[in-house]
Amino acid sequence: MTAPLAAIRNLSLRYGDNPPALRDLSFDILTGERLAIIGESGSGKSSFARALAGLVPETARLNGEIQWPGLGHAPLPGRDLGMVLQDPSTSLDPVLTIGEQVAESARAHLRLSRGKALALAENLLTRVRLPEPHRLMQAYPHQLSGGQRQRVAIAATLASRPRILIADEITSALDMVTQAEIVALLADLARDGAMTLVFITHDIALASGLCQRVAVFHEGRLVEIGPMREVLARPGDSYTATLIADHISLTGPRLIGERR
Amino acid sequence: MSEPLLAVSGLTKTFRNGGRHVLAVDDIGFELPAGQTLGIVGASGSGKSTLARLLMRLIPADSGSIRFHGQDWLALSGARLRRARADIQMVFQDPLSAFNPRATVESVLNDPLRIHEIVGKAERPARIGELLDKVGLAMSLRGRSVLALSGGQRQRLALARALATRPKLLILDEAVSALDLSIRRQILELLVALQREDGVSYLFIGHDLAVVRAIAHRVTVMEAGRIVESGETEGIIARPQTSVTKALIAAVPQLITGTESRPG
Repeated sequence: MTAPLAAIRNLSLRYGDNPPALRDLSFDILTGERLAIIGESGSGKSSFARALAGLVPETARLNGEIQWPGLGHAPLPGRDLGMVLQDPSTSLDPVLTIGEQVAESARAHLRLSRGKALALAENLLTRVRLPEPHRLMQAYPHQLSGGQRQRVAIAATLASRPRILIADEITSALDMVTQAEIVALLADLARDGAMTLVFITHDIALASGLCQRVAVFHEGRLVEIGPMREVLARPGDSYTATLIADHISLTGPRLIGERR
Repeated sequence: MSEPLLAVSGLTKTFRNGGRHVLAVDDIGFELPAGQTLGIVGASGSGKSTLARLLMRLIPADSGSIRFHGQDWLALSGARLRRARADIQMVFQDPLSAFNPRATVESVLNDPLRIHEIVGKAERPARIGELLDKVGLAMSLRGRSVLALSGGQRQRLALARALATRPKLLILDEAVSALDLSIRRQILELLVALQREDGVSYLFIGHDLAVVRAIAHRVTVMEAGRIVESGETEGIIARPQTSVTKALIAAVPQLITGTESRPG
């Protein structure tokens, strides 16, 4: 069996005098897997993403450790580890063209020439299925829709060929049809196992179609972790069972009474 | 059958974007009976929120008519419009940006009671208590700053404020979209209970067809400012006629709980 990509051991995080954001987390992230982290507001899921990416502010108290046996060294942010956030308009530079944006990452991390980096950028825009990539290279972020901007953010992250991609609520600001398209894109990008995906969301149903394993967070704790289908079929914790019960499907009972 | 609470026909609104004219709402018509919920679904940019703003008379329509509660809604002006405004209220996606950040729970509810002269000054505290009770907020929160409330509490307060004027119609514009799923379900259940109690009608704007199905008797699907499909909710979902509706149905995430194997 291959070593896990990351081994999280007794990880705790606290900001100032607030209640701990993370409480004694211990679990592994497997190499090449698609792992969902599910939690509601205050669950610590975004704090965990920051801790994993090494982006915890210095004023916070971080205890425990994250080892990277699958990498052999701590990941270089932006190089080995990519992160995409909920709001792409804050992660893209408004005065850089889309082409420069994506090429910048390739130049910084892969030390490509400007010409090669731009060629790679156009290639990546094609890979994230943006229409007319050649024309888009010259466009600015404000000229794109929310879904298109999120594709650009993903392309910029992929430029350094990261081993692990952390996606933190990346579809929450998008409409349903765009959300489904972005999830399909992620599934495609992470399919061959060359890149490990950590998919963070409050929507367990959305994750169920994408991820093989699921970790459920609640109030900073890991409630349970296991194969997606097993956890959904037989939740080991009442909190997970509540999350599943709160899902509103197209086929379940409606909240308004049927003709009575 | 009696006249519907709301009847819209031929409603059109064009925005100028640079030199171009964009038809944000294009010849829209629908009816909403009293005590019922009409869902409006569509992707971003389909015109849902422009429709809400037209109904609220926050922006003027180019053409078309709105009959609301037996009146020509677009013809009302001055004092008559101000009085009538109490009858249509709105709840937005992000309650925090809809509150004065310095407001307390009590002042948020006091304002509409005072402005619309719903009850006299002496009776306002009692009415505020009733409103809090209606939406499941504890009386102990009265003096609390809106900033100190959780997301779910804020949306309950937004709902209480909207109900303060005893409206006949509530426009809910993505009102549950930003909430955690457990809170979302609670707010939806509260909306259904309030409708049963008071007979208030809802125009429920959303992009999640499963959520709209849970609460709306009828649904209207919009794309690029036009209505592409409309009818009884279960019928539309069972037999979608347009690619837009089919895409919205396919986009609803499914919880794969079975142990059956999945392709891929």
